[in-house]
Amino acid sequence: MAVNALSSSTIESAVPPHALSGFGLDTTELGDQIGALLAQDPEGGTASLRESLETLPEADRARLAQSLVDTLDEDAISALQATSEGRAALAGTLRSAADEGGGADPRAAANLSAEKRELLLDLTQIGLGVVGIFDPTPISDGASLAISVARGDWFGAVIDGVSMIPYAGDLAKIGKLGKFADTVDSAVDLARGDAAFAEALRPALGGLDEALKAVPIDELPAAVREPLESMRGRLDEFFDATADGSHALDGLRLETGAAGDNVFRWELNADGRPVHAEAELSEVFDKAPRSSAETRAQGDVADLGRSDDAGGHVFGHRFTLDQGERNMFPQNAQFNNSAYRVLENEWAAWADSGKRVDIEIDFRDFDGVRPQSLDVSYEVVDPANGDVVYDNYVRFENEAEQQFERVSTSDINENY
Amino acid sequence: MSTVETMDRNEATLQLARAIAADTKLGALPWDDLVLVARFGDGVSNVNGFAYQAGGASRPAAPRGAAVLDAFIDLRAATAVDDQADWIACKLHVRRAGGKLSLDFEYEQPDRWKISPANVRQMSEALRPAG
Repeated sequence: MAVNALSSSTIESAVPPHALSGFGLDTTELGDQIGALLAQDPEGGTASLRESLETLPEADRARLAQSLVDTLDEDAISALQATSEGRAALAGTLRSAADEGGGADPRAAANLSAEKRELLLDLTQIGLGVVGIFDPTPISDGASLAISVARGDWFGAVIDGVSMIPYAGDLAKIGKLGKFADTVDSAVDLARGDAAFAEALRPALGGLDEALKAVPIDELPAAVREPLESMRGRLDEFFDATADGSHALDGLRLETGAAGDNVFRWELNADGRPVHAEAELSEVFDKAPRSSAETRAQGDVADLGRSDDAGGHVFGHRFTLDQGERNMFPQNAQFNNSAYRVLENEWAAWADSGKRVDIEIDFRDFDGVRPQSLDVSYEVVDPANGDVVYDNYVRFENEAEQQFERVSTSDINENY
Repeated sequence: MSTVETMDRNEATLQLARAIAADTKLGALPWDDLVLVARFGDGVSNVNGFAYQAGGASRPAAPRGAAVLDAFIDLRAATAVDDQADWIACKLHVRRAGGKLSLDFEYEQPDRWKISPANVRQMSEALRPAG
């Protein structure tokens, strides 16, 4: 067995202040300061705005942009539009404000794989690019340019940069339409059977749909018309539920349930499979009888997965009683009976000791209807005073041979 | 160590700081010092720790979103060394004042900084940053 040369090591670094500015940054005040600076010193105000948009965390950037959109007056906007730097800053502001006001659901996007997040960015950029073809102002392409550069997509940035000059760059952009159509194809295909991704896609595809509606497709030459028609067709497919409703892509269905003092909430995709679930547990129903319908449902869910899967409960039956398929997912049987069971035992011990366990579960990386992994966030609260006594975030693979450390009821009772 | 490796490590560290700043739970908690421990086992990984306030108060803390754990995974890849096993635990400390961040890596003892229901009170003090 190789012995590691290091048993431990340390890195220390100073974090740029902007990286931590998400903690309590007053974006409204910053927006007011930038607005005032623009009125007195357009060049300095523009530089400050650019720096803020480039360095702030995404959430702060969007809030700052929304604040600026709400407060910038005509003079400040004119000052920004007077220079190319200012126009790019304004474009970035509008783009970030759109994120704040109508962008993808941050939670939905945060839980996507890197490939899907990249597709989401691609689609936002495509929507802006299509607007740029017919937009008489350079604003939309400025936003698209900012995304390209931020992602290191220098080729895309060059093309979008060309079309910063209204109309002159449109022919260059047309060369990208085939790639745009391929990206839309991939996104809509991936959204099938993955309602979480479909939900995250909705704002970006909605923006693209609106942009395409403004394009006089029938009047365009075939080389331009065909990729645009392809995109329109796939968007129609995305937004229109199929006639029999067998595989609608129109978002998630929310269902709630309760058993005693325990409450539950499930977000189900079009296939009825949970993609996100929440619970507040304070009661355990030991050895509660299980109905034949519940047992049948477990068998049906197991059959959706692999040969070594069981119909595993999202929240154990001892907490939920019979809730049917909405509380089940295809789960590796050994994982169900070992690591996940140990986690549920811990929750039961907390509940038995008089605590409440607040749980959120995100199902990830779907292969068809089977999640390949799940993230479990749980916080243990003492209802007597509201104090959080334990907090944990755990990621499991939906596979066998995982270890989750067992904690005994006596350990919990002795400490709390 | 090459410049490229250093840049990757620094980028991964900065990404981790940003993920913490953007996390809906950690971003909303009041703290002056934040300590998080990420542990990687067979198929199971977890992140939890404590938020400390200057007056001495502390509470258990863990991220809500996947981005923090994802950033630890990226940091693990960025700090990988050829022919050596990856670290199995990482202790992160962020001090809000001055934006100072430190990372300690453990390669052999998976339980060195383990925070469980059985030891949460002891670990709250053991991991409390000095001064």
